[in-house]
Amino acid sequence: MADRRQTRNQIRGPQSALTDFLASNNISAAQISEDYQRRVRAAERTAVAEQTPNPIERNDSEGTSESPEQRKKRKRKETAALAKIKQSKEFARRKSRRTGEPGDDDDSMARDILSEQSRPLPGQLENCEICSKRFTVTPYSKTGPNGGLLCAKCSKDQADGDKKPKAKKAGARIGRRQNQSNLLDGNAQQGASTLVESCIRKVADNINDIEEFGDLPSSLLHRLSQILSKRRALTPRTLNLFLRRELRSINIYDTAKLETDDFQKIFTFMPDLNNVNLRFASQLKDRVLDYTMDRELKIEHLQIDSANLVSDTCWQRLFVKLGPDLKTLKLSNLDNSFNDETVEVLSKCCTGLRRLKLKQCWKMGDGSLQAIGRLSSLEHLSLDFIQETDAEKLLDMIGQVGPKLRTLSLEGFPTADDRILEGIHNHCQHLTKLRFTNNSNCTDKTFSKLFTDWPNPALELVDFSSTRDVDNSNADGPADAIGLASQGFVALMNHSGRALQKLNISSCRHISREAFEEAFADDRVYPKLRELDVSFHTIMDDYLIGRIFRCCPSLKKLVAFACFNVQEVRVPVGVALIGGLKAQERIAVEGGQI
Amino acid sequence: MPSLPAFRLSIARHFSSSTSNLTSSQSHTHGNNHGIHPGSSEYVTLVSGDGFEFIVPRSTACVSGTIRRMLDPSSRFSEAVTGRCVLENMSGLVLEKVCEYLCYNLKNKNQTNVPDMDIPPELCLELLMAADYLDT
Repeated sequence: MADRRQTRNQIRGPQSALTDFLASNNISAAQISEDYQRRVRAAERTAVAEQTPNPIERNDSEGTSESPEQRKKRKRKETAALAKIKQSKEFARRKSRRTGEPGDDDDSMARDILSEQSRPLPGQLENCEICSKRFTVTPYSKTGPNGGLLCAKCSKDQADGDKKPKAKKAGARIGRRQNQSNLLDGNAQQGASTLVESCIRKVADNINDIEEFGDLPSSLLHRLSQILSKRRALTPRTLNLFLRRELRSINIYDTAKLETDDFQKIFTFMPDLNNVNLRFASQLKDRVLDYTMDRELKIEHLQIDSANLVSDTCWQRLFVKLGPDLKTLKLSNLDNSFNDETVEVLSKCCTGLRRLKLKQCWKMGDGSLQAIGRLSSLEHLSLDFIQETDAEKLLDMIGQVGPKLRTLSLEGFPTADDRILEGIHNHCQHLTKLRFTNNSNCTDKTFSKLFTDWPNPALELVDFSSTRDVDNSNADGPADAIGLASQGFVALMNHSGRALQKLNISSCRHISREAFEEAFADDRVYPKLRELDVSFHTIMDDYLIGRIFRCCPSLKKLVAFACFNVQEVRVPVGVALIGGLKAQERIAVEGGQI
Repeated sequence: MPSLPAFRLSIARHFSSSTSNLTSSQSHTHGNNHGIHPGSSEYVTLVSGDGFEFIVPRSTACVSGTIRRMLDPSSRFSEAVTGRCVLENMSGLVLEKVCEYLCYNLKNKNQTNVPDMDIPPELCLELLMAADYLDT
């Protein structure tokens, strides 16, 4: 090589730009490399030479082979080294970092640094602390229990030993994210979930490996369908698992991935269907419904969501065909069809209808209200209109169907006024559920009147969310409060408190603190109340929430979004408080008592 | 049946390692002679369709609603009298897992954020049927 360097005219192999540059400045890269190699070899030799007496040095308590002079000399050297370290920047930095930690004096810290410095560098040889084998130190060599280095095998063993206990710890609890997710679902139960639930989840996890469900009972199929739908895993393939001839009901909550033929397959495979529930049925077309009519299916309970490819004429044919056998009809999110005329046909043909839910059907208007009023056997009615309707027509309808109703839900009637509440008071006497939301006409006085001397037994489910005055220039609303406010709320709790299971009063902004204090006073108990929504009540604070927990022993879920004064509340065990300011760890109170 | 003893062994070993208060034996070696008295004794015996016995504490077994009603002394069912429930429709493998769950449930009774017990995928459908029957 030296020869080649000297004879510049010879052909050379490729070399780096740096070597070229150095050569042009008359510096030899090969020379530098050789010098470096020589220095490394020298360092290795001295290191080996130093290490041999090392074991004796370390055991200085035993100190048998060390003469007193040698020891004195070594001590002196060590003190000098320690003093030097104490001067160094590294020491100052460590010291500033460690201030406040007990049991760390300057000496021990300096000694730590000294031992680190005297540790062999990568590439050098060392004896393993555990197995005493000689090995080459690498940057990955681990430090043993006594500060010495470990060989590759022992390093690995130790790393494994470190890992295992950690993994176990993580397995004992589910993560914070999952925990918060469960809380948002209102699930704060203690203990393991039921074996049925765990198994269903496991089945859903492995749905692609499952050939058939065997004879799983219908209730379990229903739950499986819910979970698969939520995970958006209901495909034409998984649908086949649910098609069983003998079953009379099918519930698919997400059919968005199914094609028109898949819908037809459902009705082909299950000729005895009596209960059909298909949501997000975007590919359900006229020909599928015509097919069910041809097959003379005796459908009594029908729920279909967003079937916008079904025409009005087809709906009408279906209602004529099913006639008085139809007991339940729930349709939602229809914007392309389902007009007043179709509702007219429905009310003429399906006289046996007990349960009717029509939500977000864009084409329905006043004519539909009149038609629904003629359904004389209705017991459950749920309406959510898009079009603005005449309050008069709504009132007439309540007068006609009200006396038989057991549940009533009215959403999307912004024009409805006090007369509606009066109508409910006068005509409905068998209600267990009442929902009347999104209204800024009805006054607090009428709400209060509704619940005063009402022969209707106590309600189980009440939802008056977003009944309030909306005026940006006057946040407190007029003097005569609009929407469910203090009077109405107290009257409601007096009338229905003992039976109430679910109550939603979110955004009923004009309920005063006094009203809450009265309703949740010491002597009040709402034994059955499980779910309560008090979102957007800015007067809610830790004290009032505490009162609510005290008065509602069965409470499972309390929704309190935008209640900014609810900060450090103590949540009883088994209650999910949703919408707190911070995603804080729940403060569990033993035994559910505060 | 040469393979059966090995299978039984694996069950016994499994339970001695994971749940200390659980033992298993096979029915034709009359399991009731382990100092266990019928009626209101502290332990009850669950028997699988293929003859595997699992002796578990009464409180553990009563996590299952069906077994609790079987063992309810006021019911006068033969199960309540003998302290022995024969679950014809379950294999030993499934019942083993069920027993594991009963213990798991009791162990985590008052804890929050309990993860699901580990269930082998090949067993989950059978176990689901069993769990539905046992009301757990």
